Amino acid sequence: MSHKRLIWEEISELAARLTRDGTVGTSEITQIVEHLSRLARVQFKANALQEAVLEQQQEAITLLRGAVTRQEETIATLQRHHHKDIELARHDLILAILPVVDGLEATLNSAKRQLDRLAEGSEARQMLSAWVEGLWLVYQRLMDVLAQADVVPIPAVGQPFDPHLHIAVGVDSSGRFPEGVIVAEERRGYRMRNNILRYADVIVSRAAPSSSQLLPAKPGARSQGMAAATDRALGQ
Amino acid sequence: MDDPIVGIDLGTTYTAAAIVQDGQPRLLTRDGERLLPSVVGLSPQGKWLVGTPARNQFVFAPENTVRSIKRMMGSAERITLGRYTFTPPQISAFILHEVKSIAEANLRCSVRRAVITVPAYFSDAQRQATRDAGEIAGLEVVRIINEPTAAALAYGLNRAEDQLVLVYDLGGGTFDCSLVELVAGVIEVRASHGDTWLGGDDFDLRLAEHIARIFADRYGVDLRRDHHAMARLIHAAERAKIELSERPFAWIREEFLVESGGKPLHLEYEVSRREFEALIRDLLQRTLDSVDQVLRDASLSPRDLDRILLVGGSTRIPLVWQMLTEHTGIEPQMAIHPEEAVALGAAVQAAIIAGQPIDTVLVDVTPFSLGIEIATQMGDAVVPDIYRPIIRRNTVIPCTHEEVFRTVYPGQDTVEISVYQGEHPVASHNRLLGRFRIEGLQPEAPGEPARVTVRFDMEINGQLRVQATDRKSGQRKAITVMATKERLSAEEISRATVQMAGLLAAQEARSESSVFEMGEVEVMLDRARRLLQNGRLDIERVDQIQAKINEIEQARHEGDQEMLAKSVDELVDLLFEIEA
Repeated sequence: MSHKRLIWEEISELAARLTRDGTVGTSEITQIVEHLSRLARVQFKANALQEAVLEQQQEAITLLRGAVTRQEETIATLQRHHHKDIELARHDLILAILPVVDGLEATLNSAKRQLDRLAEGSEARQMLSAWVEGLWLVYQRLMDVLAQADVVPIPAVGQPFDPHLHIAVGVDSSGRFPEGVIVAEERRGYRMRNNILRYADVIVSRAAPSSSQLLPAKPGARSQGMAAATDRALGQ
Repeated sequence: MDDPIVGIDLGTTYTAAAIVQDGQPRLLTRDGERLLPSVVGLSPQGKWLVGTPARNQFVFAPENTVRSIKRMMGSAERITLGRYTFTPPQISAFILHEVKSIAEANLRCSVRRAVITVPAYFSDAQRQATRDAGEIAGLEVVRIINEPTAAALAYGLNRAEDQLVLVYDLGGGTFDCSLVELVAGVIEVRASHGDTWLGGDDFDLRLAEHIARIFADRYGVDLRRDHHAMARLIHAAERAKIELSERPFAWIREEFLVESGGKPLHLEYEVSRREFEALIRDLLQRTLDSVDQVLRDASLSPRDLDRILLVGGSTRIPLVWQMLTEHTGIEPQMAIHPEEAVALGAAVQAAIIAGQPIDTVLVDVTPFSLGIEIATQMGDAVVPDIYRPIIRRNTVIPCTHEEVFRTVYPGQDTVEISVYQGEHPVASHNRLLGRFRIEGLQPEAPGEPARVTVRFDMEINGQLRVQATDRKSGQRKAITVMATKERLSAEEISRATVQMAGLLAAQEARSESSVFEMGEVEVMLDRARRLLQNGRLDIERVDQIQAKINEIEQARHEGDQEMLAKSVDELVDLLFEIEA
């Protein structure tokens, strides 16, 4: 700054002399020109720096503005997805719980068969029976929790086979049941409101085997026994 | 959308459809289902079924259900369903018609045009049959393209430099590998080879049989004779296979699987990734033989390849990645969901035909590998500071990966876990993200070193949770750190190399310093360069400016401050003369 002022003072003085007494020679004029152009260059440099700063600030503003817009969009999207995400998380959790339900059902079924093997009125049978009863209550409690979340089993045994609800995993061609009726359930199916959470794996009655592609029929005592038991629990 | 063109991957077991919307290819879904089983059936009530319901009735009504119609395309076979007889294209048309209605429900407008993919080895007759199927379904088939070409399009390779790409497609039931050549944005399949009966289902079966053998040894009961138990076991094997893609171990638990002499038998078995890999290695070796065959057919060697793209769900198995890398020396890429790449690529082709603008598929990835410091035994010496990546760079996030490590010495009950980001084999040369200790480790067997599971969970926001668990006691410790994440196009990812990681690091370093700190020298240099780029200067001026720029750069390089100041002043003079 002071450097610039010095130059200015010098120029002003020279200019004053020029107007006052005309005692300025060529060398002084050359000096003025030199000073002026030096000043101009300094100014040019300052302008250049200023321009660069401005440009950078402009860029920064654009960047920040973009960032804000993206943030706003993100927030809007997050809000939109919020409910969906909760639904999805619940859906995944319930899907993971279903095999636990299967396991409990298998346990209860097996216990029922063990009970049948024990002599009526024996101490062992009474012990096991009470124990199974307790486990049964645990199972019911879990089913109540699922029902609260609108999760309900898909009716299977005795129902007509419906490929929109059931997966045929075997056929029964004993002729003891009407054609197309589900005779056993290998794995229980569940739905949550209008969505299928898991299809029911079922054995379907067929008039006669029509091709070698059929899998061996297995109307498992296990599945039928369970159906009777769980139907009671679910009040069907 | 006005008269959209959908891209359709009409597969042997599954069909998928996609569309480009707002420049982004995306899959068309129904009730969250991304893939439609390629199965057609006639229900007992006389209703037509397509997709999951048709597959559900297969065992009950095989004579009224058609699977894998793709294997019959172009043949003169006739398919009978109830009292109707169909040609293979007519059956495929049921699937395409279903896709059309899914697309219409998604887009809320009528869909009349499609691009459909076929395997590269399909004959003209098979291609024509596919075209016919589309027309029967009420779709104008604007183009039939090869599946590997579609995969390359999904990765945006039509806009990349000329190169040779191997597309490795391992699905549920079939394997294909194709050599794709890109010349001036045109994609061409040069050779193709495959195995029409090899895929993920075989891996499930191998694992299920392995466990059945172990079960037989333990209990003397052969599960393979029990259809119900075996069905449960195959399902369990499939779940374990998927889990083993992320973790070194997976539990298979099936309670009350069978009864023997009135006694219930349970299955509880922890299968290791290594065990599973040993079971399927020979099957994967067969795919490598196909890769070699394709290269031989084109008179090329693995060295001529520029990149490998992974397609098909089974390519998620880490051993696929590992064997391909070892065999070819190239790290394969899987930035796009491998089950969806072909359909997305078909959508890209559709958008190109429609003259629609397309951005490439954007994915969130880790631009750097993430890992921990380990030590390794070399003879008697223990060498520390070795870097072991757990999540490889360019992995799509969110993701989870887990590895097991052991302590260096038996009786060692503490380890320090240092988490790094980077690619350097020496751990400390990478960027340290955090470290923590886990103490009180116990050996699984007395006298053995303790084993620790290290798990990395990378979230979409770049948060990395690192958890260490003592395998014996189950006690765990975890930290959460921030890792760098990038949103990249699949094309950029596939171009990414170590250099890219370096560039990103440089960019990061630059962004850390404020934009306002750009000095006077930089400003003047920048101004000079822009002037040069404008191109309106005469040659003499250009030379003068360039000479000054060189002088400044040299002075800066040599650290000669006096020279620097002088040169910058002279540059300012020069610029002033020109601009004023």
